[in-house]
Amino acid sequence: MPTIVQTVFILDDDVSFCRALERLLHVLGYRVQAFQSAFEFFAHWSPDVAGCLLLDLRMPDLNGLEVQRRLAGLEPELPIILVSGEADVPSCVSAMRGGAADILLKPFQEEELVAALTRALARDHRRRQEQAEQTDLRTRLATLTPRELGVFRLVAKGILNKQIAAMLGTKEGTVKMHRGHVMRKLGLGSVAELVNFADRLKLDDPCPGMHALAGRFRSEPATTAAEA
Amino acid sequence: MQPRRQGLSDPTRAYRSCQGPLDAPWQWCVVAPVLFDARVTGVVLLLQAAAIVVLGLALRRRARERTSADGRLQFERLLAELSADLSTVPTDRADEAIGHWVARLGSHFEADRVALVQFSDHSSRLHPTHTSDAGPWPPLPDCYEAEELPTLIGDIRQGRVVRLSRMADLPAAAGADRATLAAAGVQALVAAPLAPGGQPIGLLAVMMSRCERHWSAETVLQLQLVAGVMGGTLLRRNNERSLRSIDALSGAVLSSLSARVAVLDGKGTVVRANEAWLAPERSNGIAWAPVGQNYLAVCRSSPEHESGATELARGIESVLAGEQSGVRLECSTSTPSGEHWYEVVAEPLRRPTGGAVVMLTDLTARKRAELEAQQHRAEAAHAARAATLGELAAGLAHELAQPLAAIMTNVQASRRLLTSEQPPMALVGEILDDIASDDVRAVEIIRRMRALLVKGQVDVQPLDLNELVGDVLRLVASDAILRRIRVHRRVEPDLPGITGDRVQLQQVILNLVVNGLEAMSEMPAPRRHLNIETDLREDGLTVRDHGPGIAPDLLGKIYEPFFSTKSDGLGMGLSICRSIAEAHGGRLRAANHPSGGAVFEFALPVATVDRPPETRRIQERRSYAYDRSDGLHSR
Repeated sequence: MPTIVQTVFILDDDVSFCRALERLLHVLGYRVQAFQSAFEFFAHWSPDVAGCLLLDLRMPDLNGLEVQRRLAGLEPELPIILVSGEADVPSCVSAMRGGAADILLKPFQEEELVAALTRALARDHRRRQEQAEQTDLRTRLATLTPRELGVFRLVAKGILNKQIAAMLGTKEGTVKMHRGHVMRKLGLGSVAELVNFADRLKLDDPCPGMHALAGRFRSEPATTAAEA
Repeated sequence: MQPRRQGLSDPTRAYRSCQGPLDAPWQWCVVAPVLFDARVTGVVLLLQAAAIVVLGLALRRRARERTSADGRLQFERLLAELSADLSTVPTDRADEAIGHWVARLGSHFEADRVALVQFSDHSSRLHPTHTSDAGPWPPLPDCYEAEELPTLIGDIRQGRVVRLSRMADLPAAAGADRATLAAAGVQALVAAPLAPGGQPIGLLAVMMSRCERHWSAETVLQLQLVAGVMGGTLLRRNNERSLRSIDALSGAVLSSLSARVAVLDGKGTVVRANEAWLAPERSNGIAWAPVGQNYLAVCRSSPEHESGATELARGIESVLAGEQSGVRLECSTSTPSGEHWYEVVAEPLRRPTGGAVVMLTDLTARKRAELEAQQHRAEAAHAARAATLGELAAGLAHELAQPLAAIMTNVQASRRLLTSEQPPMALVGEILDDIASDDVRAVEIIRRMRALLVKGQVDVQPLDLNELVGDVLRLVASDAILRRIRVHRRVEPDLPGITGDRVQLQQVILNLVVNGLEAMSEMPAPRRHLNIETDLREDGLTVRDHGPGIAPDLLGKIYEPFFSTKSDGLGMGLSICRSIAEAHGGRLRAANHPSGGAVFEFALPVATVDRPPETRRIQERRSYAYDRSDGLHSR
């Protein structure tokens, strides 16, 4: 039983199958919400609700792959288990490329369904946790001044205080002072924690404009940019 | 002019009449006066001189008459020899002989040139075929056009002799003749027509080039006699030549035929055959007989019955007996070099003594091409059908997956519910209802699928079942030959009429027959018989094969869609057949025959007489059948 409240969404145009699946998942203890058309689903669904989607590949109005494409642009991504009446290889391949968590062939056994749901929900849970962590890290990072952010960035790269001072055109003492502020504001105890923080923070470029600055002192600016 | 036959027919009398004057007593009086006086002597001398002159004249005349008599004798001999020679000469040497005699005539007539000229068969031309020249005269051309010698030819064609002692004898209007003859250097000419049996075929001309010449009536007569003999010879030669050319033509026609042709006499003996027939290595297993042997006997003693020799003998016999105006049958033989197909045609020989012409045409190449094409067509049709079925099956799979998945899921849910302490029975009941309705849905899908495979609209019309059987057997005839299967048809002539869709019913019969043929592919040749019968009993049509039969445990399955015992079968044949049979209000039954093989019985309701045939949609019948089969669900 999942610990966080997660909802299993069902999107299938076949009323009878929808109802049967809803019943079974209810019996199995899942929270279920079933829809018969993609429009209905998009009207009710919100990204905040944790869970996964059991999606029928063949539907009259908007088929499974199109629904998957629409959902792909949204954050956090909803794990999709595609349900198909036949092993249509090209559709399955494009579904998997599109990031589907699993594919179930109708009719399926309960065990297959539960296994697929467990995997998908765990994936959703992990994603949501990651997202929450990112939000936390970013909130904390947002408390830094631009100068402190620059120092944070360079320290995370393992550059010595003296070099940082030279790069920023200040004294080593000033760098030390900024570094102290950073550690305190982010609640970090050591340089190792700082590096870990920067690692977990999957920011493309936490310090815009720093590349060019760093490039002046580094022999390989391209590498710097790539590392950044 | 009238020939003076009597003078020539009795030359001795003519000779005697020449001797007459020498024995006369008055001749001695010419010598007597020499004995008297001078006066008298003068007179006597005068008289003597006159007598000498008279005697000289008489001697000259006698000499001349003797020459003429010798000439006649000579001609008599020549004519005798000519007749004897030309009447016995073989026709292939006739031209040579005529050439020889034309030369002899040249010397006999003391002519500068003798020419035998023939009219060509189909045009107005003249061909100087034989000439004899006594000097270096300008040669005659190969042929003359009729316009070059109009007057001369006109006379000859009317059977008249042309006698020109000098060119001036030609009438003033004959300018063309004059110019042509002058070009050939002719100064005098006598020509007699060659007209054996009154039909002018040419002319025999004697010509002078050095001088003009008076042609005596006797010369003309002789020429006519010679022309008569030569004309006869030419006619004989021409007749034989045309006979031989007709024979050579028919021989050439026969030998140019690639088919093997033999001419049989009334008893079946080969009297003539073409080269292809006479080459035994080309017989390829089919009965063969050389000239002089009886072909019927050869056919009857043929060891195998497979090549159809017995049937062939029977066919030829009926043609020889005049029972049939021609027989045509196909047969196949198997030789080390492979399978050969023949078309045998026997036609009566139209002549009083009877006989027949037998022609064997090798159809192997054509047959192979045909079979190949047929196979390709069948493959293409199979592929097309398979593709359609594939699409249908994909659709069917998806369609069926829905209710099946719903049923499965409902079953799993209810199983969970029932294991709980207080099972919600109302909910379980609801689930069972859902399962039942999903099952109905699945059945409906399958029914729809089958309906798709059977053609949508049918044209119901009155039909003759025997005719349908004939149509189908024609379709599979070469297939049966290829598989070496003998198809036995026995039809009930007084079959009541039926109504239905021609194409669909043909499809059913074809399916049953082809199934039967295919079932026997592994059987030994003597067992390969397929019986197809129509009768008045309840089962209108019976198709029986002598194959391995149907395994008892499969008897119930053979009508199921996609059930097939064949590696390449689609498993739709019998399923569709049964659908068609039911749609026609009939039925299709399969069983194993007690003595081996499978029997399919196809029964159709008899058409009612009082109701006119109408065109209905089979859809109506199908929905009716569906309504009736509601019981299926509870099964």
